[in-house]
Amino acid sequence: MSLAKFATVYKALDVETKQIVAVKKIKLGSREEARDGINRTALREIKLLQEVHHPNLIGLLDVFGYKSNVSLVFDFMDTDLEVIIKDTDNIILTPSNIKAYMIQTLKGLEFLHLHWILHRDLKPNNLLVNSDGILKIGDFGLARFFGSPNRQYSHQVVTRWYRSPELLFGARSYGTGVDMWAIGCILAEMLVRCPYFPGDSDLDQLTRIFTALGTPGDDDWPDMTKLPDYVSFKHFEGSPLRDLFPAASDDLLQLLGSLLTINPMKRCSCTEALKMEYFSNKPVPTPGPILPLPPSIRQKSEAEKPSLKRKIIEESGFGGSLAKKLQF
Amino acid sequence: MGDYYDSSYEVQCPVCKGTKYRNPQMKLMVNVCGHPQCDACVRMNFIKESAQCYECNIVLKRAKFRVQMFEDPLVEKEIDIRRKVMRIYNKSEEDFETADEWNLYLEEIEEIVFNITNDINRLEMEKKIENYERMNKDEIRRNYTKKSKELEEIDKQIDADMMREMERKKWQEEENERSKISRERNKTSLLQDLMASDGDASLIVQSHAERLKIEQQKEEQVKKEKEILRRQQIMSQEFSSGVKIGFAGISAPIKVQKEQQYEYEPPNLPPSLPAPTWDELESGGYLNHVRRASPSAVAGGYTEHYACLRALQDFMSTLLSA
Repeated sequence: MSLAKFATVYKALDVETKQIVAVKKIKLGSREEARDGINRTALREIKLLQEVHHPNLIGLLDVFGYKSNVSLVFDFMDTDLEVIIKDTDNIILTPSNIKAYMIQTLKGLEFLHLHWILHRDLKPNNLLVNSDGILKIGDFGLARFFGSPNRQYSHQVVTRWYRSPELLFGARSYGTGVDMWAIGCILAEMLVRCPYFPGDSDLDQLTRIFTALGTPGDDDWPDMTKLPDYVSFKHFEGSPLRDLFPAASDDLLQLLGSLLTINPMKRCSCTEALKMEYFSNKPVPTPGPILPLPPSIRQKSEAEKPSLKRKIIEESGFGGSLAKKLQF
Repeated sequence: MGDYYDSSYEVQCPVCKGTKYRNPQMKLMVNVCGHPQCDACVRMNFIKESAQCYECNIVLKRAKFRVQMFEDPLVEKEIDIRRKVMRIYNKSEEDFETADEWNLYLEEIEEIVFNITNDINRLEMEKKIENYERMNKDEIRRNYTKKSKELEEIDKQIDADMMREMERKKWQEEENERSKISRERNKTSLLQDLMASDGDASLIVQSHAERLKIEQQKEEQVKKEKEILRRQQIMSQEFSSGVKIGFAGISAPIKVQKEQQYEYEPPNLPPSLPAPTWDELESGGYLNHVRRASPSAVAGGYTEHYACLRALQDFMSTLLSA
């Protein structure tokens, strides 16, 4: 299905349960990496995903090793939000659709945050959608536990376009705000149907954010000058969100404004976001099965339903009766 | 505590008492015995290749020193010991008839490693290893060659991965080259047609464009088929052997919801005794017992509330499970 840098993803059929799954085979990489043992991002992914189970988080069904390869078996997902957002020819995203996607994303993320996990790589590409219109957060390669006072965290996380101002200023201690900012960027992207802050360098990224929302002053964001990579910016006035998103409803702007607050301490949490009026107001969120999908997937999933005969190679015979091996 | 306090500053070399705070470049090194010292001390004390450990007095070689990767030097020591033991205890799962026997064998290895690491019955353990080595000499040698076969397998796989990557690149380049040539050809043929015929220029251009379109479609079709073929090849290469999978279970299917107004409901969390809420941390005085977050951390969105709440929640849930 896809050939990424660290892993190859296959679509596979589990012959025992007749369920279609995605198999992510971790690449060995160079010889030195192979000698170190299992790939670090894969290990993080396995460790975290084994502990959390939620309808809106990708399910890790199994992990198996063969020879020196490690493969991760996930729920099969037909597409992702990036494809949906980009397919402007075939898909119209109604306010109801956007609300439905937002609720699912926030529910998944709330669950993660309550378990003290930061995702740290939220972007439309990692919000996976299946043909039932269920959205699941995927790719936990950068996810980490948070809330530990002594740990220093890398600020080189999150794809740049979705990186929050505090990360761009090099913050080494941060909280759930980094994920919430990314959610804000994703919401804006769903509204305008293209990345909202597509910066081509870290400085350009900050400039884009500040030109749109205004350069923060010391009152808005105390102690921002103490951040490791702080640079002072030209004063931009910024525009009210109303002018940036003329077609959006007021309750949506309230949510968006709260998510895209420059000071991370004033940004809302998932729970606060979900309790906002926007979600309980009308229009009601679209139920999953009638959410829009790219036409190719809609057709395929309909053709698949009557019979599961597929030309996919996968074997999952051999029961799990063999002893587990634990060797270093 | 200072604003920019980093816990790794506390790392100290037991020989020269230098700390990471004073010398940020300082690296702790460990040897087989697991007693760390900094790289400068190693350089000084091991000018003559070998010297005694400052702690346990066993003779160490300079070449055997390596950078300490884990915070706990005991882990480093264990890795060394484990490597040594595994060189002798090198049977694999296939050598055993039942899972129980295999488990017993693994248990034995773990016991030896643990005991030697923690200096419990060390001599006895070493004797045990020696005995085992003598008894199973041939088998160990046989397994040793088998092991290297496994390594070969890894090498082979890496090579195959690289080959495939190169092939893909070559294929891509060829594809680009081909399309470039065909574009050139089309352009010259169009110019020639325009030059040679007396017909309407716009008509000629149009017919050319149409022909081009058809050709392109054909090409894309071929490309697609090739790509599918290529992927099938890759697939059959990689999953052609019996892989054991024990199914861990499927996440529960999600009920289809009718169109309805959204209402917030808190997620299901594992049972725990009630911990104070975020807002109670301040008023309840809980925050007085954790280190205040530095202003730069607060600016980055981190507050001591996180650490405090997490510690309290962790505690409450362990209380219940106990």
